[in-house]
Amino acid sequence: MTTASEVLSSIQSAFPGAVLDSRVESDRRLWATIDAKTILDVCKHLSSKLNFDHYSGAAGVDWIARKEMEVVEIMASHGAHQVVAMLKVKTHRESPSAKSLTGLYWNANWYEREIWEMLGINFEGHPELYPLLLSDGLMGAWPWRKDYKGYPDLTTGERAVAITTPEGYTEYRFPPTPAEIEAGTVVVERPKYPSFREREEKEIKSDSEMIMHLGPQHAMVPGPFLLDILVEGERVKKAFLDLGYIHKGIEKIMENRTWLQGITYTDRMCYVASLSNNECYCGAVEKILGLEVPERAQYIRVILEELSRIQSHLIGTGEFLTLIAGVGYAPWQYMIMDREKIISLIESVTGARLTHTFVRFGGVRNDLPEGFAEQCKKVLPYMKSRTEEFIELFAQDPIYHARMENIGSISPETGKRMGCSGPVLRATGVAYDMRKEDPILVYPDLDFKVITGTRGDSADRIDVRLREMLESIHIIEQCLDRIHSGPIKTEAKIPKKVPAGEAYYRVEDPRGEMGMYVISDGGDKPYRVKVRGPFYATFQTLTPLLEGVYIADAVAIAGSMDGCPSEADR
Amino acid sequence: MGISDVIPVPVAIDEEIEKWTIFGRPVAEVWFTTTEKIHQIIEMGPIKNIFNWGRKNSVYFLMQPMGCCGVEMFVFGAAPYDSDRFGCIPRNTPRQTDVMIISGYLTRKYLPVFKNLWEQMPEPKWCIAIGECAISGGPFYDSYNIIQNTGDYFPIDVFIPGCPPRPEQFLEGLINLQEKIKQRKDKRDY
Amino acid sequence: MLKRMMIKNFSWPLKTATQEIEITRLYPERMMELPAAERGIHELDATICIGCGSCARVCPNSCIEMVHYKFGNPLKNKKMQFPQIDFGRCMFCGLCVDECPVECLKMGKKVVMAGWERKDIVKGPEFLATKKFSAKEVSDLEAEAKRIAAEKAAAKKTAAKEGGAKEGAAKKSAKEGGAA
Repeated sequence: MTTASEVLSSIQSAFPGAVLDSRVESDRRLWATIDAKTILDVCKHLSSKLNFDHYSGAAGVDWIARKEMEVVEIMASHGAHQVVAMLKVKTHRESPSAKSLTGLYWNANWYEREIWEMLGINFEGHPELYPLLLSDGLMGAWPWRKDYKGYPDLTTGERAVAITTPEGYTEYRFPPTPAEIEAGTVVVERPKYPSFREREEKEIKSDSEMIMHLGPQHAMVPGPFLLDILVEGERVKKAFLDLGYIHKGIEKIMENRTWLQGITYTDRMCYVASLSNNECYCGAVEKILGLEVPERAQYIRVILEELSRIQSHLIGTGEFLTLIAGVGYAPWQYMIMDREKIISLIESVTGARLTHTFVRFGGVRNDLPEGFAEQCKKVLPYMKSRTEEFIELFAQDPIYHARMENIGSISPETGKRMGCSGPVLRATGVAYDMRKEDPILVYPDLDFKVITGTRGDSADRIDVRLREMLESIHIIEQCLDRIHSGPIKTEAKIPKKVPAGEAYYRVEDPRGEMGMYVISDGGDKPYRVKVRGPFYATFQTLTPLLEGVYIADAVAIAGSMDGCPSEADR
Repeated sequence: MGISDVIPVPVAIDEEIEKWTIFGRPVAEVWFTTTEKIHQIIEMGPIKNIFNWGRKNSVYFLMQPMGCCGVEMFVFGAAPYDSDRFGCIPRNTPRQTDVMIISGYLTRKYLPVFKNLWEQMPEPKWCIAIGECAISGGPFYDSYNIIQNTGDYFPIDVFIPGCPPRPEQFLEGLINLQEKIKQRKDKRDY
Repeated sequence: MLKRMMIKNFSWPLKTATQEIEITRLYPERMMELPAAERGIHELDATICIGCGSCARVCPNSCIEMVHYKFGNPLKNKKMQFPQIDFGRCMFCGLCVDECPVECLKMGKKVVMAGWERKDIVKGPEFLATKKFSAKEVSDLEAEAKRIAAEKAAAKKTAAKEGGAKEGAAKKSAKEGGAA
């Protein structure tokens, strides 16, 4: 079993002088500041010698007082050990730049693009440094920098000027206001890059090829995104993704809200998994505060998160079925009907259907209502029988199998390399689950299996989700047996100001690994909140998966990912 | 916005007819009236109410989930709340819809696309703002990327608060819209 | 084989259709039963609100504004400031309810609201208040508040006088002496 201190000593012995500063928080967390010159070699060492084969994400932090910027690379392993290494690389605030890890980890691509467009940190050696989330008008303004004046005084409201083009279309421009010009946030020099349309048109090589747009308006994916596919005949040659249509800037907004108010924003990041998001944020803050959560509160959290997982999988599967078969397809209606039962259960505790704002630092908002256990014991067996029926229905339908099997297959190696997680990765056969990997709350005491598939195709992904629902029901039943009365909030007083520190906390979202990196500078507001969303990672794997498939299968593959663009866009 | 936008008026023929004379007087005045005049009569009389009665009971809405409210929109369209009871049927393309439900945050990047969708919808059309993000920007009111007052860009007839509103409130919104159409008080004045 | 499977698949909807369970919630005719924890539209008990404004401060959307309202309790709420909520901004998170020190703000089970104009969904204390005083009660309370204030002022005066008498006894006597 590798521990954090062993990893640290291994780096120190291999690269003397490379580690500028380090902190071993526990056996599972290593914080180290690495010399910018050696970061590539250190990462190579980690991935080849120490099994750090999971690049979990990267965060950019603007330390305006110290006049530097930081890129924090988050590394983990797919089950070989449980250490999460947070490697920081420092760079100057003027003309910031860092070394790109895209050569080493394929999925570093999007994370680095995001840091570039939001903070302006240039990544040397990055193959396609184009904006991902922001519209062209905001490029070069670097909105996540601490001195960005566009927040909160000069926001975009009431600023769009409608211009009617000669063709009769309406376009919008966002001219700078006088105040903005005075503040100096107008983009004087925009970075040069080809636009999305130019990039995809460059790929058209012959007359028999054309581009098909899927989106941005989708009928059955809860959030707009643009998927363009370059087709030749019936085959997809290349796929292009454009996100950011619902980019809300949650990470920036949370920096300007108090710690408590931040909980409400985590709800709205991914609205079908808002309890996991709540848990992730509150867990990270609890870690900084050093709070202990009472046992009853832990059980309540687990029960609700698992209920939330069931409803999320139900709606995800339902959406997928409508995408492949149309809105009238009966299972969609069945799944929504069953989901209403689960939603009613959650609502009876939290008081809201989707956005719960339920988890608090060191506890939960309110206790389980009277008769909750009885209600659960009525609904859960019903859900169990229904889910088994669903599984049977899918397993025996020959048309479904002909359509779904070996469509969009991912091998375990590819899945690991691409950094996807959750049911998408587990369908390939890799048993990677945060509840086992980085256990939180009372999960270590509970008995449950990690569901895995074998082929990693669309059918397997759905199958894994459905079987996971059975496992969730099993977890809830155990919790209901074990829960006993007690306090639901910690007795310690929760201060308005959180002491300076940082924490990285991971939970298993219905869509995969959800991590939050929270930094406090001792104030009443977070200094930085970085969200490592599961669907952001899964989304990235979509474009290579679509290459070479039939057009009709493109929808089947994209749908089986259980998309939530809102969480990818944040 | 007149009825002539809905039913195509053969303008060229109208002009031609106006040139005709009978016993030295224009035909249109004596013999039969122009299409414009027929439309004026429809506008005034109870025929318009019959038109609106038909319209209010067949408000098809665009499936356009944009945020949390979009998830509730699924439920609202599916069996548990069954919007079909009110003649509100979800459609997937703007070409077949009458009601645009703004169900979430409008960002800088999405506003032009959204305007496109709105312009693709055939007349007569109405717009409902569902949820606080659509009304005022909601929790993201001070974000660098969010449009706050969607009312400036779209003629919103009904505002439904909630974050997200329950499916009952979606129904309430549509019932309100139907009432507004019936009373002929909608913003675009059909 | 294939036929048998197809028939089995068709048996599913048939089974559901014959179960006679009620799926559709017939909203306008009947509202579904909501749990006690439901976070619906706010309810204000104007008789105990102290107008501290902590709800307005904790609101992440700053949708609560404190406005003047007549029918509150002048004894507790001296400036008669009560919350006005812009429901076009409120996200029903319940932080204001958790924060209220006297538990006068609650979230009820009423959830349905619609406005034809933007200003229709900005609701003042008149709409929110489920408990309030009548005009007569308010005037009585105001009179009492005045009486208490007057009493307090009098008490203060006497206290000041007494204190002054002790402290300024020498002065007084000097003055008296001067007058004499």
